[in-house]
Amino acid sequence: MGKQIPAILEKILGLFLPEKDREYLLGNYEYLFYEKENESGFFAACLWYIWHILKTAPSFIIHNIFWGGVMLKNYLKITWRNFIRYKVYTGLNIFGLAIGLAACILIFLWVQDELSYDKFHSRSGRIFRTEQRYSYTSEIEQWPITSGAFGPTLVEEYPEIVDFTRIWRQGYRLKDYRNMVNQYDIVLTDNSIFTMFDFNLLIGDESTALVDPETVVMTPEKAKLLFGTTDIIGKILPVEWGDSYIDLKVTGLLEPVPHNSHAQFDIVISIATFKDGGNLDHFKWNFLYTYVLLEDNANVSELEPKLSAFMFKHRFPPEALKARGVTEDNISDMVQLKLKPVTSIHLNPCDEWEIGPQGNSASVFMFSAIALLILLIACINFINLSTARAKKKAKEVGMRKAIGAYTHQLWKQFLSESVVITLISLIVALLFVIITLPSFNSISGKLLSLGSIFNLEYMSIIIGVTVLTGLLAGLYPAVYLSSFSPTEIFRSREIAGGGKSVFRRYMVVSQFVISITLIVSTITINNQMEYIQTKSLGFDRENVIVIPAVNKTIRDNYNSLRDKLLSSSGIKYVSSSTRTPGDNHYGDQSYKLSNSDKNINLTFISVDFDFINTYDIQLLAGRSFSREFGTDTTGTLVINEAALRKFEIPAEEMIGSTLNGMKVVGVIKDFHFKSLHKEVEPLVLILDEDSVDGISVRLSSGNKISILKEIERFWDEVNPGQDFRFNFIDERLNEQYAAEVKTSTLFVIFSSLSILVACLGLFGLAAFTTEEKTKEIGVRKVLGASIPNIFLNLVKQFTKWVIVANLIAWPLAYYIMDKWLQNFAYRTEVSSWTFIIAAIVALIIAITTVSFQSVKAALANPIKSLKYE
Amino acid sequence: MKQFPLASRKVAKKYRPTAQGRQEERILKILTRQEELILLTVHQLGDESHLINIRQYLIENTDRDWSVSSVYVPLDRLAQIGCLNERIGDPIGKRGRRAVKYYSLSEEGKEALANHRELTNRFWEGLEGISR
Repeated sequence: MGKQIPAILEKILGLFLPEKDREYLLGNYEYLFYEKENESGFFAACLWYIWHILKTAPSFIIHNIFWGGVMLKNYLKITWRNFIRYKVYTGLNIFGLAIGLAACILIFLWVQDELSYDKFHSRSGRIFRTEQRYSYTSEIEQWPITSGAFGPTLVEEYPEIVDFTRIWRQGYRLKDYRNMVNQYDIVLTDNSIFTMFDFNLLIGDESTALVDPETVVMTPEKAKLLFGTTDIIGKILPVEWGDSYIDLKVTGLLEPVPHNSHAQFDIVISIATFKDGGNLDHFKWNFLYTYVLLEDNANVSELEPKLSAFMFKHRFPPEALKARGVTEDNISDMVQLKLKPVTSIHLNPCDEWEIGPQGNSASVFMFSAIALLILLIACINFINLSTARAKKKAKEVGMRKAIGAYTHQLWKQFLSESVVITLISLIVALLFVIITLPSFNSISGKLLSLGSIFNLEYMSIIIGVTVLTGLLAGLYPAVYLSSFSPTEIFRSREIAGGGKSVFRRYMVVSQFVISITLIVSTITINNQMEYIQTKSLGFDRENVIVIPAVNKTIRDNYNSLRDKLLSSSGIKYVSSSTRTPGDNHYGDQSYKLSNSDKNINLTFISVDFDFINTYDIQLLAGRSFSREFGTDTTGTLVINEAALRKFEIPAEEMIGSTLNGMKVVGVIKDFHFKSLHKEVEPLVLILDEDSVDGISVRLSSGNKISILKEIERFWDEVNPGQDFRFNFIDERLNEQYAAEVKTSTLFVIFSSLSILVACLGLFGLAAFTTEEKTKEIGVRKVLGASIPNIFLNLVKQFTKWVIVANLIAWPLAYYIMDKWLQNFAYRTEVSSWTFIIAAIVALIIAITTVSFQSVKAALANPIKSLKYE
Repeated sequence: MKQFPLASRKVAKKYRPTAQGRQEERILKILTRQEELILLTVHQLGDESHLINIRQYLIENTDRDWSVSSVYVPLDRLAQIGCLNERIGDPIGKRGRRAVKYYSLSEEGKEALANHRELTNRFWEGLEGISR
């Protein structure tokens, strides 16, 4: 007597055998197994058994596929018949899902693009940008900019760091082939930009192109602009350098930088060109970006702490910290050199001094959330419409069950039906995407192409998500419908819960919760945008133009230009300054107050006499700079309220005291010289008539065009040959919020879409509810109910749901929006009328949607509705 | 009445009994040698006649190796055309846990055997004296 058959083998074989014959066939196999075992042992018998399992498998699989196919064909046929029969509902389902999917696909592409930044570099995992981080004051500052000596010294002192690239962004004036001089945005870099990064040259030697001083490479586009041809190797490009021109030799044609690189540039000059000025070999001024390449297996988290020592050694002696009053022992935490992976710069940029406009991880998160919400709403629609149709489907389910369908077969049927619907919607959605992509690009400022959707990876993700959506959306209807008992269905005509399912009510309510939350968010975001664009900035932003003084000629001729301008009646004030409101970068310096040992870091702007008048900044105490006081030119300054608060002394005491030897003559009210993301920083205005970087002109409120023409005429008289360029200050200020405006526009569009999808679902649901009540309405009418009466009766139910949804959505929306507004230093409140508007909008939408059906039902002739039985 | 669409007609045709099958159903008299032996074995084994025992009996008595399928296929066909009754036994096999299918001669089976014997006898007329 031997051992028993391994149970697992019997299980496997059992899977392959038809159910009705399974038991005794296994019995037969069992007998044969023991026979085999007696003859040649247990092991051989097991092998024999396995061999028989394998022999059975092919016929099992073929059998299953064949009959599966037959059934699937049947399911598809029934699905198709249902489509034809209920055209409106199928249409609503497909349309709603298609909109949801299209929105999801667009957002998916957008998010993918945001996440793809700088991943195209083959060494992207090893490239880091050095960022200085100071936390010895209450504020933590992290700058991406460093000075020229960082790179070489790091490579020298730390074996983990293999290579470095410095990028310095500058505006230079170049002379093109028609002898026109224009300002171009230029970067100066090391040659390692081609070896470390994956930036390439179309023509030219990547290992030497930017090694020598006075060499330049550029993209074909810029070559066309500057030379009229792309055949430019060896040609000469004159660049204005101080007062004269130096000739740069073109050594290569740059491949256009991919759009998903955080650093964008098209003309590159070798950084060695700058060596003569001695500007690169020190640690003093921070003006360029240093990127380092780490060794293959270097550990960043181990390397980073070691870099504090580097900072103390070269950049910031510990004594300097002590001099600033820091006494704590853990000073190494206060001065750090951070290494930021190049791939995370785009979504986690520094607050200031960033190399170009970058993205925002919060909006990536926000849009992903919206995409999911829209898909969720579309799924809920699908579930609702399917369960609402339960009554019509019940008979089919009953018949199938009576004939002998298993529950799992019914599941298969309903799931395949919903997957078919989602796949059709996907096709429609792709059409939507193709149609709307150009306008989406122009709104979002991206360069997404159709080619980026139709690649294998994205397509498989999209199809995968779609099928998953179909399965999820079909799951509840499948479980619900297949649970009907055939006797129940055929005995009575009523399906329990078919008419008013509690589940469905929850679904509609949750849809409206999402929609109302989105409405409130949309309104609040728009309010905030409006608020920051119209908030009083502490100065008059209307009618001021700023003319950049880009070269020495203009600077030297400033005084004569000012005199000419002031002679015009259309111009009130003219002033020069080093910075103008809306600039991003300001200098700062430590100031020491007389009779006190306080040292405080203050932002400064050098201005001339009329700056305060030009911008109409309010004085709080003291006086403005004035030519009447001859002594003003010998070192006077005006501080703002924020600076006054820092020094913690009253205004009267402040006026007359000196800061770094300069006399304080007045205190001005705070004005927003930076964007409203930040609070107003302490500021000093220093009187310095010689520092002319920008010329601000206040126009009188007359015909602007004629005044501007006049200014241009004066300009040409004073500065012949220089092009006249200017910005209105209010336009420039609004540019600071371009990213937010873009985001909020997208947000409005997508939340409207989600509301539309929710409405489609409600419309379909209302249609079903009304249809089920046809007879009730007929009876009511016969008994004398008026049309408004019936209408109200039908609308009442939906109104109730919307009100419940409002109550849930309000706190949710408040919480989310409150969080979002924390991003702004100056912000509006989430006002209560926002909620009321959202509630009214939701109610109006719901009632209008439902009304279509209700009015139709209320107007119908009762004879017709009662006739059919 | 509505016609079946073409595709389903094809499927239906494929699984309809073949012409040969229908004829056998009607005549069911002519048995092959194998079938005759199997029917007789079932009779001999009585209550113990399931696939394994039938095969065992055949092997022992004919001195030949009968493969499982050479027993099972005719056995199954005989059951299909009604010559054998089927019965699923209780799962109390000597060593096994599972049930097996038991067969017994039906009235039709007996009739078929009788017919067969008569037929054979008719063919044997004039050769009664022959022996091994």
